[in-house]
Amino acid sequence: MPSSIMSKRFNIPALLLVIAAAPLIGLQPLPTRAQSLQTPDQHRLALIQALRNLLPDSTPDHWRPGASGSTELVQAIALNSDNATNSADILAIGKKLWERKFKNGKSLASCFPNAGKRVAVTYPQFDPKSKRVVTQEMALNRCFALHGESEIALGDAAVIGPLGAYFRSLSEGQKLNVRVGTPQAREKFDAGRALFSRRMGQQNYACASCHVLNAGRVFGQQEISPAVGQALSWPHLQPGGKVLALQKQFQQCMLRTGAEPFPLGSDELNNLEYYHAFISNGLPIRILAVQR
Amino acid sequence: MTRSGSPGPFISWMGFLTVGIALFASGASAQSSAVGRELFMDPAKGNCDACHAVGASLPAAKRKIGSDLSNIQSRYPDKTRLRADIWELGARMAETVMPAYGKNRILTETEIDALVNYVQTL
Repeated sequence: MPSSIMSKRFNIPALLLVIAAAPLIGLQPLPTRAQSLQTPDQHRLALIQALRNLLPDSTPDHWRPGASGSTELVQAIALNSDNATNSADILAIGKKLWERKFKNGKSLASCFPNAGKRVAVTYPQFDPKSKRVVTQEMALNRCFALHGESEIALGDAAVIGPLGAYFRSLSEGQKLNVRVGTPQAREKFDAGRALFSRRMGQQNYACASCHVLNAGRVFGQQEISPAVGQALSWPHLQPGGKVLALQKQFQQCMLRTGAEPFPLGSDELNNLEYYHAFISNGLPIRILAVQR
Repeated sequence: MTRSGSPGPFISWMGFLTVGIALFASGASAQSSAVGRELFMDPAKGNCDACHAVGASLPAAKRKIGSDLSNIQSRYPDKTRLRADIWELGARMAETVMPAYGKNRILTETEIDALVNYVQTL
């Protein structure tokens, strides 16, 4: 579209700044040498700065509702009373699953430090033994496996949804605190970051195309949420009471681009979730936000 | 041997033919434009209205990803350039998120023609 149109529609200085910052915030298909020299924290701060330039009237605190929206109106919708009612039901189901005794008398709490309190905010984690990123759902399944219990299918939203939501609720009020502490972990972070910025599918756009370059703009009837803050409010509560896991949302986004989504629990989606969570570090989580 | 009859009937016949062709073309264009309108709004095809408003007045519509498409003819007097941008805007704007409707075969060439015809009426 001609530049004259662009100037009417966009805040040009902010847009130019974001485009100029694109290599910094990872809008290249793969990390360049300069990018790989940037630490994950430097990258996170550069990304926040780029988003603040694009959304000058907001701060990361405004972005907390994540995909539930960033405007006051949308926040009000996300925090309405329906949320509380439905959330309580879902969390009660999750609590039952969490407290269920295994055949050996133990329960999920036995697998986590502090009986699982203030732990979920540290997921995803890099596991040096398996050299994989472990999401909170995988950690729950590892616990089941360790005690000879059946694992839960990652696509079984009726079970993994409430259980995951309850696990998160044990960290209510806590700030997201995902660590990328070793070079091996860094490799997974970089892979997730590269995937976040990789254009894909017939539509040929990346996660970053919308959630970085066009954050705050409107697609259809929906405001596009900034990438920073999105990870705080997962899993989401959908209208009708179904819980939607973050990787399911990743898959839906990939389908929207026309790409074949990676499977739930695949290294690709785990690495993406690792990166996606890390960029929201330092912000407090929200339990069972309502998805619009 | 001389040509029999006057040129009058021949000219009249040509006139009818010209008007007929013009009417046919205008009808075909209108039909194509109607198809283009469907494509413009179809989420599985153009889905153009998800990103573009036309004469937006509401604040949310003004914040759509793409440009407002009203008076598009004044901005794209050259129809071929409009078509080229729909076919692949990324060829001249690398950072665009607008899908390459032609290059990536989201729409057929005929559908792109129909879409161009419709967009030109905005």
